[in-house]
Amino acid sequence: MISIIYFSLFASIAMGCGLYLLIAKHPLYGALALIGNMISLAGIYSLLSAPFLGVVQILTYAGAIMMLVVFVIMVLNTAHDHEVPRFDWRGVYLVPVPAALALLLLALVYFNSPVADATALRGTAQNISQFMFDTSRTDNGYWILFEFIGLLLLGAMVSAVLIAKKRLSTHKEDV
Amino acid sequence: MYPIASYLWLIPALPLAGAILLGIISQLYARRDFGPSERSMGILAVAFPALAFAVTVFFATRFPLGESLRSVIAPWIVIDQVSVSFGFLFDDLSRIMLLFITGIGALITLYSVGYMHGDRGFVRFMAYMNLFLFSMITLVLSDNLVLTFLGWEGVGLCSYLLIGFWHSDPANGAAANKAFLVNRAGDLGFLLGIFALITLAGPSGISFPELKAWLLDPENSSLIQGPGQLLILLATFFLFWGCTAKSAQIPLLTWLPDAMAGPTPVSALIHAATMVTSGVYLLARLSDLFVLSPIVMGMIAVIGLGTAMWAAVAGIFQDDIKKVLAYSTVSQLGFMFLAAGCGAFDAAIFHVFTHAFFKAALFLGAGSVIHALAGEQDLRRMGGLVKSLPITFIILASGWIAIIGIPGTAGFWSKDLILERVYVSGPMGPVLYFAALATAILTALYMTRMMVLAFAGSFRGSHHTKDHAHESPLSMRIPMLVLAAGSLLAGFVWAGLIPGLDIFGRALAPIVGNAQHLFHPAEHHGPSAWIFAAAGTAAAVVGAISGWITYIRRIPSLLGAPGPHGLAKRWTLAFDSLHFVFAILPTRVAAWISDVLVQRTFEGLQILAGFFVLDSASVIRKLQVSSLRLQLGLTLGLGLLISILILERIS
Amino acid sequence: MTPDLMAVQGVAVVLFCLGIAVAMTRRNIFFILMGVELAINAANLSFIGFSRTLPAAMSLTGQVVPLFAIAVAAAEACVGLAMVILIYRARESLDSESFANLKE
Repeated sequence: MISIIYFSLFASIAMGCGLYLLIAKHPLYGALALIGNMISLAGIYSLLSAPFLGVVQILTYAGAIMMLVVFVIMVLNTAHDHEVPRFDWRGVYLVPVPAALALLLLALVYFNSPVADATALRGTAQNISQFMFDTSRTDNGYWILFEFIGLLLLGAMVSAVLIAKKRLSTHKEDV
Repeated sequence: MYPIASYLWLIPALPLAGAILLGIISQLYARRDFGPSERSMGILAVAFPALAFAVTVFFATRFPLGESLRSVIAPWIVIDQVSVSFGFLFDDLSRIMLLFITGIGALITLYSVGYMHGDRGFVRFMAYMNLFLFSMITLVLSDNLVLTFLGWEGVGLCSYLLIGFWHSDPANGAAANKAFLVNRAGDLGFLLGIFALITLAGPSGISFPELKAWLLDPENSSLIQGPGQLLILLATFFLFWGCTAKSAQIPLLTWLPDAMAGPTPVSALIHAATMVTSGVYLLARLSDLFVLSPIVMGMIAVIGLGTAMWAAVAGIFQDDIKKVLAYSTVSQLGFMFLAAGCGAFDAAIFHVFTHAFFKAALFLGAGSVIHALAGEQDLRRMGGLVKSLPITFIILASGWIAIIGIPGTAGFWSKDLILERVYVSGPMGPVLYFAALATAILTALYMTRMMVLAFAGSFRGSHHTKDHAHESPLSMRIPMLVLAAGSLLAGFVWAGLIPGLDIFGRALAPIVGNAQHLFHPAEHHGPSAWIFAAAGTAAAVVGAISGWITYIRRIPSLLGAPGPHGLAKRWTLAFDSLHFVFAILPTRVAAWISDVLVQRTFEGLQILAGFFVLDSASVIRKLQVSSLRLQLGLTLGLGLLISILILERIS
Repeated sequence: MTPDLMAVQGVAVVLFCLGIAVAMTRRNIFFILMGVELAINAANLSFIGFSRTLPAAMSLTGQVVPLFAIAVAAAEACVGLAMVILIYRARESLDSESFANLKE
């Protein structure tokens, strides 16, 4: 019972924050709403027996990635922000696309309603790491994928440095 | 164990504190137009080495000979194979080394307060000197090979920093780089030696007392005599290789003459009195190990003798007063290695001790001459200085008679002892002895040449420098006089002429005596000591007289660049050429291959891939719309369409 | 006792559509980025919700994929923000309409 209460609490916070992101005036407020959304999602993950992912969500997503976003927002924080119109009303014509998507997905879920399996494992750090790296239990594990993700992060870091580096020699007109 | 032993760390810590303090001060003033007061900085710079000397004297006089103190401060590297700690060992060998390192170090720091007067880097220089003393003390005071290696690297670093002290001149930087690189080549040997010892003796292969106990333990004799032979050969060979770089022996000796680019006090302290002798120190410290490998001992003796002879001949060709002394240092180091290779470790350390006095006196005297002549180092532009620089002459002359071995002076006792020990060392002894005696004649020859060119005759430089010539300030004269007195009198601590003062040989007996006994089980009896003394004196006199006769009349030509020409130049740079052929050229070829073949190939591949991406992107770009969000919406719509189609197919 | 999986999927769908809506209707470039992040989060939630329906060890597959998705999102945010900085320097604006030059 208590998990239902927690779930409705977290879910309403998450959806409220998502809605606020849609209408927020300043990107900083939007970022804070998104952080609130992620933290409540982490709570939902834990309720769904995925505590490790909940922790990773808070550490990596709400902690690291959103910190970066907030940092960049504050670095680029200029008076111009208020001159940018909040919405682009042409975008309204595109709203049917997500709406149709939502309807489709909800219909799918409704007609094949998911049934919880009692033997599902709890996603603790130990279980997940065994599942990913213990090749004696799972066939191939996720070694290769894991290494590729590492390479991807390295590449992303290098390219981010290269992209954002100030080119002293180039003029504004050339960019 | 005396509880006071736990204060041994004070000896290295004092110069370290000085180095840190002076380093901070020099950084604080780095961006200002003026430096801090030289008087207060000079007092500060001398105070720390002097205090370290005082502490050393306190320790040295408080405990009787043969007593050794050991104090372990903290564990450092603790793994299964080996455990290393920050430990200090104060026995008679390190007692002797420490006494003259801190003593002469303090004196030379005092001298450099006068010598570096007015230099913009005054404080930085003093910080480096203190850092050097810290490293050198660590080297000789440590109780294990790894901490010794730390000091070994530290002195190498300070040598690099001080050779390149006047780094605005690229030549000085090049000399510093050369010294650093050649020393790295030797450090490789040192490290391999440590690894070989660990492989051989396990955890007890690191600490000196434990290694000695392990080697003397009867339980290990079967291993040492049998399967361990190869490892012992390797360990001694590699460690000796390390020593050749630090102590400028064949073939890694080219850096020392170039190292004279540094300020003269540096040449005196690092490149004559202390750092370069650390190789001899290591041989003596590990004497129990080295005597187990007769092949390497023979190699040490032959290389030492070869170095001594080659450098003595090269010394005759030099026009730069500091270069003469540099080759003389190399030659004297050769004598020390010859003694060590013949199993006379105590004689080698005794020569280290006396050499520190007279070579420091010679270098400081030369520095005083250079100081007086406003930076002139060319012997051809000197002459007749005895009138304008009488005190400097007295100092240089006492160093001169000490190095050539006039009876009674420090060099006489130590060189005579080495020659005598070499003669009785074995069947090859007499051959080595006569070669060494010939080298002694050459030593007298080139030293006399230097003295004649600098002080006899008439002045050959410009009138301006003649008028500038003046005696050095008091802070330079006091250390020089003390060292000159030392170079005359330091030999009596072995001589036995004054009862109770011949402590040197007795002090070293517990450290190296066992090894020497192993190396010469039977006592060889050569001719009487008086004959050796007479032969040594005769060599000195013959060399000095022939040098006087040859060079008093010959007025050197002032034309042409300084330095040797023709065959003499080829002789001097023989080992530079060898290094070029065997080390530098292969490195350049490898660098060319990796640059042109490997690097360029991969660069070409990268550029190719880049072109491919750019060209294909320019095609794909045509398919996009210009607005970002419209693009997003279209993408989603397409995704929706595809998922509906797939779902239809599945269901 | 876990929450109703149907409700979990419902929340995921709502969040996903909100994220898409943010990304498509807002003009500020930061909101576009954050909308995409919100959509990724919704997809993660859906994965985890479905992972409860699988038996035994298989169920962890649904938790490993979000783990990798978070790592990829980190890379995406890293490069995306670097590009925002670059474009901002060139255009002095955060309005996505001023970046409408994908074609040329």
